[in-house]
Amino acid sequence: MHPHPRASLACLTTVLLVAACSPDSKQPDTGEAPPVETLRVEEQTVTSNNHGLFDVDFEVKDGERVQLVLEDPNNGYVGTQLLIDPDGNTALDRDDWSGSHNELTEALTGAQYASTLNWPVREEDGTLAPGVWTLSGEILDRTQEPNKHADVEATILYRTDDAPTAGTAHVVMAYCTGVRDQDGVVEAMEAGVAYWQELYASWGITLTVEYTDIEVDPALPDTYEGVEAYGELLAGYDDYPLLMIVGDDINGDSYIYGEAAAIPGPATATRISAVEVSWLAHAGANGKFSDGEIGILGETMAHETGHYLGMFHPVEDGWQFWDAVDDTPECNSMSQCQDKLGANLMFPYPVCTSMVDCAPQDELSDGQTGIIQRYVGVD
Amino acid sequence: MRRALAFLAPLALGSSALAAEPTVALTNDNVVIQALRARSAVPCAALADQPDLAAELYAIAEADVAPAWVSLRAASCLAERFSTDGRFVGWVSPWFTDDERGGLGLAALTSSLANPATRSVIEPLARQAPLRWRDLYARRLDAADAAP
Repeated sequence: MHPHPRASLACLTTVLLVAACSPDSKQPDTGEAPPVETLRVEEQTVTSNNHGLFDVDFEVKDGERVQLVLEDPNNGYVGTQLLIDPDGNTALDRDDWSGSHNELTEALTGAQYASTLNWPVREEDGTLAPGVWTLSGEILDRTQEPNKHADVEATILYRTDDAPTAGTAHVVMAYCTGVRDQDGVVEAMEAGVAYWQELYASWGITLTVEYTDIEVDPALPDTYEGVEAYGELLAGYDDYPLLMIVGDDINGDSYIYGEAAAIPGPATATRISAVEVSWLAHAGANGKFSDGEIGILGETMAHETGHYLGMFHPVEDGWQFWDAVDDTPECNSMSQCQDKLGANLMFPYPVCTSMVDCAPQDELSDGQTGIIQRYVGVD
Repeated sequence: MRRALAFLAPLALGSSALAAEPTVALTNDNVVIQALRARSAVPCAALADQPDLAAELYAIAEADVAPAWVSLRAASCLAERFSTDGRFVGWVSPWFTDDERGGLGLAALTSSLANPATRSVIEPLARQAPLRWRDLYARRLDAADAAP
């Protein structure tokens, strides 16, 4: 265990919010009692010490996986340093990953507005032993200096899942102001969703998608900044859906095809709880969707949601950084990586075999599939 | 697809895209196309210095290159880096009159908003665009004006 100045809990409030149980309707009728999936949610407010450090203690029950969403009410930066199991052993240590060429979770790098740790990430991270776990974190102000005696709002989601290799995710797709009025956009989005659903079904995840509208300027800000209206929309749901926003473009660039707020993103309602998609970047110069463009649109939805559920690119453009999944092939040059990973959904860019044709990116390794199935927002 | 210019795109030398033009050959392994294909956008300033990068960007913008954002990025980079090029106005003007190229117009317009001189060239074109695109352009201009 690495030495770590543990924060004292100057303030701790705990609220148990939800205990929802429902039978898993996907299971065949075997005459046995149906498996039960349970999501319970707990909120705490903790206060940092003189070094901007804080602890969140949370009690895990047998068979649960967790997601911790840390928010700074003052919009500074917050992140995870350590995760300690009930026996005092370190399950996750930021020092082990800083400077690494492998990427496991952005919870360790911290983020403005909200930081999300979903645990476990990989199969080798093990299951959560029952008992009291501790997340030790750090909060910085907007100048990135330690924020002393500052409140941190922690939301802990606990998921019990008797069918860990199958699940359902509820998606809310929201059209920004005026986007529905653009010719062909709604039809293209729905066709893209159908392909996205097909891809995720092949990895054991059923997507249920509903459509709505949101009064947000379709010139979207980047997802790291987010929009208050995203959290307000999600607050109206009680089942922690994934939010996909459809706008004209993102961050003033006509060519950013889509963006996820974080890896992983929060299952709770915050201003950054969204994946954004640009219809224009996919429709191209003529603003109309070809079949090939709809295919890439569906893969964009699947790719960006993949980030939100916890997957990194198997290799980053530049070929010097990789994900932390053991079964994605190693590579270290463009040609080698395109050959080995070009068909992977999470490859950093489409691999185009000609000027006008790009190869499908419809593969995930078992290790990658396990990551998205362990996301707490997937039941 | 908007035109059969998959592999050969016009390279205009004068101020008009309709002038007699040589062509620049684009291939699937073109280094600028490869850079523009990346999902994480390469900054326009980081594009390799080709002998005539402006003409190459114009050719890419006008060609049908997959994925669709490649041509938009090319248009954006053209406006960001080469708005003072003598050929620029002739190149971009059709993007604001041809309904089938309005996306290129939006990319150029958005890119111009950070540079008042470039905006002064492009905004009048955008204000007269076909109706389908004019509202989008107007929203973009209004949002830029409303920004703090």
